[in-house]
Amino acid sequence: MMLTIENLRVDFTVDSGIQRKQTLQAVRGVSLELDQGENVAIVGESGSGKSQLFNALMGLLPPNGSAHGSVSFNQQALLNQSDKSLNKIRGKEIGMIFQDPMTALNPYLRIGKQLTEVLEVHEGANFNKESAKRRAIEMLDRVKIKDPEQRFNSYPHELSGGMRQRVVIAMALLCKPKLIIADEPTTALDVTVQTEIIRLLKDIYRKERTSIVLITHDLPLVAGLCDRIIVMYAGKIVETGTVDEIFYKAQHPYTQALLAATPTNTEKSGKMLAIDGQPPDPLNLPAGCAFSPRCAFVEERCKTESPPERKIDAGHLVSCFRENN
Amino acid sequence: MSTLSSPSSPSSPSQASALLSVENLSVVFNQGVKKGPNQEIQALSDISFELVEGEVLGVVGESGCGKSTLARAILQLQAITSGQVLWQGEDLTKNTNDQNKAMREHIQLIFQDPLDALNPRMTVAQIIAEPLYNLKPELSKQEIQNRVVELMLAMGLQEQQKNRYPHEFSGGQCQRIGIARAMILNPKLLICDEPVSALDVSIQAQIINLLMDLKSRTGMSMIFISHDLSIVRQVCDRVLVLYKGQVVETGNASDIYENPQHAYTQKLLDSIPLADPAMERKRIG
Repeated sequence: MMLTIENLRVDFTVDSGIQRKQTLQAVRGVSLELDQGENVAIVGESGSGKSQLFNALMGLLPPNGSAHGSVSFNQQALLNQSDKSLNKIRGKEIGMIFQDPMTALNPYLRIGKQLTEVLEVHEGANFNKESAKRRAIEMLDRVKIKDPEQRFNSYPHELSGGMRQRVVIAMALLCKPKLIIADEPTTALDVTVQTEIIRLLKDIYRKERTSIVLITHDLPLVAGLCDRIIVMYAGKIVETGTVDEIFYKAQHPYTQALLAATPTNTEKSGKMLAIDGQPPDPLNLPAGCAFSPRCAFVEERCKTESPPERKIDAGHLVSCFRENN
Repeated sequence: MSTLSSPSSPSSPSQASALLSVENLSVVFNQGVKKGPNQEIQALSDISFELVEGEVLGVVGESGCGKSTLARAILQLQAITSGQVLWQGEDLTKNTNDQNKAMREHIQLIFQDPLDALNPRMTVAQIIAEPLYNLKPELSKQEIQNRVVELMLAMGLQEQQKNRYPHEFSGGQCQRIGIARAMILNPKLLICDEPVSALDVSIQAQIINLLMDLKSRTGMSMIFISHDLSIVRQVCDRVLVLYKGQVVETGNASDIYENPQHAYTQKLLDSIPLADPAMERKRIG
């Protein structure tokens, strides 16, 4: 296994007004494994803990956050390591792509400087300015940026949102990472650009065999890109399976409701299928299954006990008491 | 429901006369740079369309195409460069702000970011009542309170929540408060500027259903601005496709989606991710 996450918990200490300090559980015991060359999507709504899971891995939690559990990446421990040891992995073996390409880039520095900086940091003594420039330009060409030599000298504001995101992707790819974590890489972009970025990620995945973890709230977005989908709700994994299993044979009531609520380009059908209620308050989670207050099939025990993970098929796991959904 | 009254004579959209008609509307932004030449940006050029009573018009396009500028220009929140905006035959562009106050009773707006659109220092009841204080000063305090509570209930909010502040609500609930504020005047036209794009998928459908329910109860017209073509298809009767400030295609929603004529419309439709892995893999390639 390339990446093994065992019982990862992420807590935040929050000051909520006049109340005393409270602990917010953003991720509540997540275990997952990722093989070299796997292409996985983490799907969940805001507050599901999908982003904090990977922020914890990369040592990007804010000061009031803490991570517990164990994570190993190619036999190296990742969790709660010093910045110095993490920096050998971050940006080199694990690349990251963020949601907003404007804030991910430094507005004061030219694209070229920001790209070659990655090599400068990770290659140390082997760094050569000329070859770094050549490689950066090659990489800009790889992510299909036109006139890469010219763009090398551009500032981020001179590029469109889609182009900036391509630069961020190029930056993540420069050190030939084994894993790329993309956190909502297309959410800030227009629909037409979104498709181009997804096509680019698929092309990179095919040709470089880089593993990709794509974090998103948008199920259809990953239908054509990923092999496996992990669905999260209120800090826990509720269902995991292949893309086909999730789309055609979803078992968890939340996955089913989410699929039904996703607007599709089909004929006007009168009412849309909404999920009643709201996601739970993370400071005040319901006992038992977190989805139980909104679930159409709720039983008595759902309100008191947490459902265990149940195996449907080799890789298809669901955390729900209800069988034969 | 007395607050959300239905129109006296419900007429079918096709026969009714135009409620709103926009004629050759253009908006040009001057990007004033201190030194160097003035750069002009054509935000909207020569837009014309009509909206009849009870109709839902979708406005789609990518960021920067002028969708929101169009909404602002209709409401006279944006100075227009040329053209006319006729509301029930009256040209709004020639009116002063005071004269347009009456129009605001009939045209209301809801915004994309539900929390940003609410004053953080006002309670929910104050927020929802504000249009009445401004435009219906003749109402008594008690009448206003009654209408506020009635609307909160119609929006799926609870009466006990009326003295709370916006930050105590989730995004979906804040959007319900924004809709209540827009609906309290019984508008004839509701302009929705990306009303659900800041919300989670499970909440999006709730808000869309609420809007559609209000529409069928009151018979109001809607202009639904969105970049999400799937949602627009579920909501709209007619669609206007904007590209770089120009209308590239307009027609019945079913025609646009089944049989798009303009290359740009086709490109937009081809960009919608499909909720079926086999088909989506084919689309992505």
